[in-house]
Amino acid sequence: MLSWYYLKGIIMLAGIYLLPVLGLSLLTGFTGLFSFGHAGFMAIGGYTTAFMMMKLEVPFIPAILMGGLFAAFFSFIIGKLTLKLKGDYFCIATLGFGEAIRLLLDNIQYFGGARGWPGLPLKTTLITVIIIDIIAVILLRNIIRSRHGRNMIAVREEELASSIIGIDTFKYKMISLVISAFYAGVGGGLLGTYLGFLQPKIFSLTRSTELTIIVIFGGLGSLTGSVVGTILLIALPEILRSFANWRLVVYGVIVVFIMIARPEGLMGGKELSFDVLRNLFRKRVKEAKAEGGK
Amino acid sequence: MNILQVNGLTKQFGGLTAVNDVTFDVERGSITGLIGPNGAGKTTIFNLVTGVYKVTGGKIVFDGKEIQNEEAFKIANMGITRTFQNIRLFKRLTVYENVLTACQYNANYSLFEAMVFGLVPKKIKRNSRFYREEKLLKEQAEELMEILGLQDRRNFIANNLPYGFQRRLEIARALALRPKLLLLDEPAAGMNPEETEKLTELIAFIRDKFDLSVLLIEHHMDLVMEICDKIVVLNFGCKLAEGTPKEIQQNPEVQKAYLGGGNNA
Amino acid sequence: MSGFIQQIINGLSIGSVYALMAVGYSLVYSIMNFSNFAHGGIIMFGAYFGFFFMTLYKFPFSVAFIASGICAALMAILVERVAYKPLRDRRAPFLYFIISAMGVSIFLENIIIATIGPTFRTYPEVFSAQPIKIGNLAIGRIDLTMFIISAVFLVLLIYLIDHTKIGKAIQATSFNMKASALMGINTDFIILLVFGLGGFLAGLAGVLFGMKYTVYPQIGNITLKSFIAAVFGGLGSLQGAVIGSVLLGIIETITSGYISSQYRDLIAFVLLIFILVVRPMGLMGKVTEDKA
Repeated sequence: MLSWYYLKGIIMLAGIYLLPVLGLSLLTGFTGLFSFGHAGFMAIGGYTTAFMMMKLEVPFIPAILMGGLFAAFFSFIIGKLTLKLKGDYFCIATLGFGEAIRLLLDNIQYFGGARGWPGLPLKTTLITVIIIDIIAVILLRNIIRSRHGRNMIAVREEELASSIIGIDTFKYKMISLVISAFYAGVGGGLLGTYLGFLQPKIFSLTRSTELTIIVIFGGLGSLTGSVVGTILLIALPEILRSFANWRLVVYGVIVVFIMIARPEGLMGGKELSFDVLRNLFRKRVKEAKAEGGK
Repeated sequence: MNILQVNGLTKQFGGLTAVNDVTFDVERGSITGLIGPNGAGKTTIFNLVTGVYKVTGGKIVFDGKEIQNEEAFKIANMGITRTFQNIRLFKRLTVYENVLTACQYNANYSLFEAMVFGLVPKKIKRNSRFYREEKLLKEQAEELMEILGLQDRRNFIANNLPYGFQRRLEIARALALRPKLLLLDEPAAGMNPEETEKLTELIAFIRDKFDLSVLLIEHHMDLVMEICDKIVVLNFGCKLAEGTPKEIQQNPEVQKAYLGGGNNA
Repeated sequence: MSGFIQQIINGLSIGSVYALMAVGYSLVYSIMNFSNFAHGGIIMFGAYFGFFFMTLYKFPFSVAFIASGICAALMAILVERVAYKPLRDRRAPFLYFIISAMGVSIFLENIIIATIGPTFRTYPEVFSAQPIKIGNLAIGRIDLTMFIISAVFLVLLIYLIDHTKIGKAIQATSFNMKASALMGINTDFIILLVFGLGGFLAGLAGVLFGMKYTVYPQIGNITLKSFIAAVFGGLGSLQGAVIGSVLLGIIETITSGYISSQYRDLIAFVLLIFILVVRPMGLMGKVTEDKA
């Protein structure tokens, strides 16, 4: 039943969605900003990539990078307008942006309008997805482990104190936003060339919130959590199709429950690494020995 | 020579004047106390000097430069930093991470360098600026924890630290910037006499060790009288008096404001 | 010319229902300082309550209308207790509130899809489709009802906030929750009250929208308009929310009347961007400084 072809499809889908999730992980998990518009950035990346390849005959990889850059550019404008403002302006602006992009694409007949844009070249392969994922994870890990990443975390933890130790909080929110939009844009580009078509409907508000749910489920402030979360939450529903109607109901409950009971999510802000596993193992052994000694 | 000159400083919130035409100086290398009853405008002055609030009127000159219109992070990078009355640590990070984060000021490597050199074999990255500076930051963080006696608690989550150590950690974090002027907002609040005594020594020690000037808000009069070179007294947003601890103690107006106002000073 | 007046009237009617949603959202924002993104879910439930009260239980319109408001209010209170109270109790960062609100909103929308189904449902006809004619103007009966009912409840709300003791307590709490608690105001009760009021109005708005259009699980997305209206008017300001909503409603109907109805939704976002560029604090908003 589970043919390799089917399984490969799921792995690729999870690998593609991992990119926007990683971007959101940086933005929400490490910088403390909440976006409702990342499906919009995916849409921009997807349509830009398609436009580059179909109309300008740009090769695959540069086209995808252009998609990412274009999404990043849009995020820069939104950030410029809202990141200096207090409160929920950023949230509402991203919410409005995501919906506006979708409505706009619905009305652009050049890109197929609401009916979508079929016949895109099927360039995305499993190997490409895996390589891009690995690069994406490593780059993000490097950012987070550097002073720049620490500054973002500081902004998340206590904005006022961050500025008092000389951190340009606006700049770091902006960097985080632009990188996360770039990731989402690249993800969108890969999605279009994997599915072979694009449709504004794919990039709905529900899509944006699903991406955030994955980040929260994996754990705010944990990259490996985001990876595990993506694999679980993208792959599971694909396998359990009959469950589809209740999937989002359960997601909603899980999100509220996590916030109330375990805001750190699956990974509790920790990274899954060989060190952690080894320590866990040693602790068990020690405990076992201590018990044995009694 | 003065490190800080505050000239005619005024701050209004709507119709309320929180700070009214206050003028005073902080001499380089000195410890200056800022005292007064609750609501006198002391913390507001800190917020104005550090750029947290925008100034309504007046001038603030730091090290010869006017800073009243600068953003908070720029003022911090010029060399003024502070602690908060209601401690504001990076609560969910460890002691070490708190200090290390604050050390960022001393590194210059770019985001790009971090992305490239973060995960490559040591042989390659050893010569990179990223590697050198990260190493330096970690050493500085260790040193600061050592000086403030936080070494043993380096892996504690900041929020779980005992109160006195939280205050120490805030000072350590502030010192990571190598400031020229350190503003301490009620550092001894909630401490017992013994802890206060230790803190007094610590403040004098870091002043000498880091060659900085200190501006201090405090209600513990023993501490203020013991270490301050000069004291500025505020009342209802206005400056009431200024002078050496001795002069202040003998000033009848100050006595009236404190005793007459029924404040426990 | 009469076409233009016609558009204005339609705009007023839509805008006043936006206002009904926006004031609830603004009230919660002014007290809790976070965007209650679950507001849309409450509106959607209000629409379904009204629908089932009228079709299944054959309630007369007025009874179904008020009953839907009350049920929606109870739901809003329940949401507060389940999803926000635990966070308030441990003083969780503001990000958690938004995430929790998002979770509630997903839950509410999808529980309807999973149980009742994603189909569009039409309210029974309460008001005849025959418009009222005044000279050249033709005013829809539903539009007129929407406007009158919304206006009445908005006036009542503003009276409650400005002229009663409990209103003063709400204002004080929004100004400074900690100090209000010290002054003997039961802030927990005020929070429940605010959620209840907001939920009640959201429920009414849901019924009105359901009646004018149809009922479907995504009808709550219409709150996005009220968020935009609230930003337009100034986040946290009640008068601002009302003015912003009415203006948004008028701008929308004029756009669909004179340009194309396809751009009706898009214009709201263009407006949002425009406000953020020109006057981010909104029409009635004030620049505030955080207390450090």
